[in-house]
Amino acid sequence: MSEVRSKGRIIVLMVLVSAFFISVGARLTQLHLDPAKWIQEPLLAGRKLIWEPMGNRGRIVDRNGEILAMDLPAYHICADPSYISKHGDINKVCRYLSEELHISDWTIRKKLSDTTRQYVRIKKYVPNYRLKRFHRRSFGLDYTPRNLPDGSTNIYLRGIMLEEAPIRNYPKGALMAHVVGFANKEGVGGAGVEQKMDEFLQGKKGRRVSRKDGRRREIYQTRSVDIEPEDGNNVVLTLDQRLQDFVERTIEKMRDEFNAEASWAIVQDVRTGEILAMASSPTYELNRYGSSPPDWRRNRPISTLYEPGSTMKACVIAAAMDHGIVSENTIIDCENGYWVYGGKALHDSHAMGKIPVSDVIKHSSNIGTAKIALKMGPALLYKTIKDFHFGKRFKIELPGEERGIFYSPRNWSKISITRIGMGHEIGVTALQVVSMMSTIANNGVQMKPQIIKKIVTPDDQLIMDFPPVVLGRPLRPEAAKRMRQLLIHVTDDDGTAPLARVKGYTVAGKTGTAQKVRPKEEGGGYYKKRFVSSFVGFLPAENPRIAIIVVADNPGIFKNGRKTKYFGGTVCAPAFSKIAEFAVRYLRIPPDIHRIYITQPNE
Amino acid sequence: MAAKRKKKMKKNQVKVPFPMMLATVLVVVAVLGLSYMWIDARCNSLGREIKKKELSLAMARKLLVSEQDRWSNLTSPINLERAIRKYHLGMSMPQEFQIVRIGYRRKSKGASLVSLD
Repeated sequence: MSEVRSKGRIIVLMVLVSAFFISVGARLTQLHLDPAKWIQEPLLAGRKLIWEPMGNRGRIVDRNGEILAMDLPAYHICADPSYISKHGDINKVCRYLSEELHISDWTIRKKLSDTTRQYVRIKKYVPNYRLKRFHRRSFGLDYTPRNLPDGSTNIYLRGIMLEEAPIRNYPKGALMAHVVGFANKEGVGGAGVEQKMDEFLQGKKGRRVSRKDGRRREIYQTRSVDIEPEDGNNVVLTLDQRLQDFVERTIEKMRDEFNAEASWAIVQDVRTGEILAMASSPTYELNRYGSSPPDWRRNRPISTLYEPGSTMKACVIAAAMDHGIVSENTIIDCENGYWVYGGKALHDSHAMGKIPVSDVIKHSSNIGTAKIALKMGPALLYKTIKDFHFGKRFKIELPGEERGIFYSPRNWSKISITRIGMGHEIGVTALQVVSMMSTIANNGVQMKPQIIKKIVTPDDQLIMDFPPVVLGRPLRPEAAKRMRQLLIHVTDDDGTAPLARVKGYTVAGKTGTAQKVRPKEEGGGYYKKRFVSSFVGFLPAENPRIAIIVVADNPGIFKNGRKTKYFGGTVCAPAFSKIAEFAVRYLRIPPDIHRIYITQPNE
Repeated sequence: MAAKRKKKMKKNQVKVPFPMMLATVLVVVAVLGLSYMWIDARCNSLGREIKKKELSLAMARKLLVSEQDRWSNLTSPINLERAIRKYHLGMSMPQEFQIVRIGYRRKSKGASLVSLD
């Protein structure tokens, strides 16, 4: 009997103990697998990790893949003054950071003095390569000083953090500054291609949702969302860095030599319209764009308007020949250099009498051109100039492009037709003038100037292509060819630009020396002794490949109180020659050769 | 005597039958629990490894970018020219007498001239 009762009690006890442990186990399982929201939520909130890294901004490269603009990894050096005051060593922090970052000890100490704060920035945008001595740890950084004391390990700087802050870097410095432009610290383009192609260059944010442990390290298995950031697209320019560098140095030397206020130049491929170089002087350093005067940041080839002067004669006379109004041999009376029309006198720099049209171009006769323009009439002259895209934008992929100033005939005065033919009373950009000359070189076909070759993804998949675009045909091929022949003679010994010649090549081109317009506030009209000098041409003349324009703003050397050396043929033609000589070698453009095969009898 | 007492104690002991089913279940649960813990620890360890690899990949990418920047700077025209000067690699254009130019030839008697270009 007692045996049975004991057995029963033991069983009951077993059941009770088992029930207890089972219930504890079940509750643990339940808490583990499905904890109550009021327990879970505060924990999760504290452990949640949301990270939205920004993709890098895309790169800008030249036609050969040379990197002109790229994002560089950089960091803000931040500190937690509250944490440092409790767990860190402020003296160590101040000493080693000031040594490494070249900031005064006192500056760092001042930033860390407010111990109620949990976040201060010690230094911003420190490039990655300057942080080789720092390594991340849980609550600070490990620092390896240059001169480690004997027997010591790295210094643990508690309370110091690194915050990612990539910076935009321009490894080529000032090269192609006006074309590439710059982006600000927030990653927004502020000038040049950086601004115009900002939407393609911008990276996309990624997103990572996860949880962190007690040491603030991410728990990988809890990652629920993992979207990688996307880097921006890369923009491939048509420009060539080597050619660009040569052009920049040449126009800078020219500006120094002839005391010009500014100078600019463009090299264009006449067949495709691609811009191979676009330079402006003075220029600025892209990595320190904020410290340059705003005027230096202007992209003059597309944004500076000037009166082209005699360079305009090329398209006017070409159109006159195309419409049969004159031919190369038509005789024009240049009135011995002085002619009055509409009550206003017109002068030639070289007095000439009756000369053929070919000599009007060669000697750049204003009177001869004015008479040809009169024969054309206002409607045809206006149409011609419009057909060459003057007074319109090319919509090139750069900000700040000017359309130019070209009024319709109803706004012309009686003498405007004569002045416009000579390149006055019209405001143009260097890009418009070189495009005009490229049209003559390209058998009368005008190609759209292109700055960008293509846009690709970071792994080189094509996003957008920029094929050559034909804008129109202002001239027939025959007229263009005839004009090319006339322009060759500009570089003859008795032409206006013998200094533009290039050995082994025939050069065709036109000089321009136009008085600068005086602003209305200063009395209007023209300055007597301030000029914009230019030379625009192409080579090889028989089979043109490149067109080049060089412009100088207010060049001139004063000698005995007189201003000298300001003509386009004196100032810009030599620079053209140097650039052309380099370009034909670098681009491997063969000279124009005539291959002659001589046959003998009985062969 | 002691042996006899032990035998008597054993005889008088109440034998409580331990259910086999419960034991099996407990063992199974224990095994599952331990397996779960082992797999969880393994996942944690793999997760940490993946994190480490991700960090080293990010560091390697940054290093690559820094090197590309450095290379791009070294290959800028101004630095290339400096290097050319430093290592005396510069070349000059050939002299006039070293250049061969193909030009016109004089017509000889009985020959005819054919221009191909």
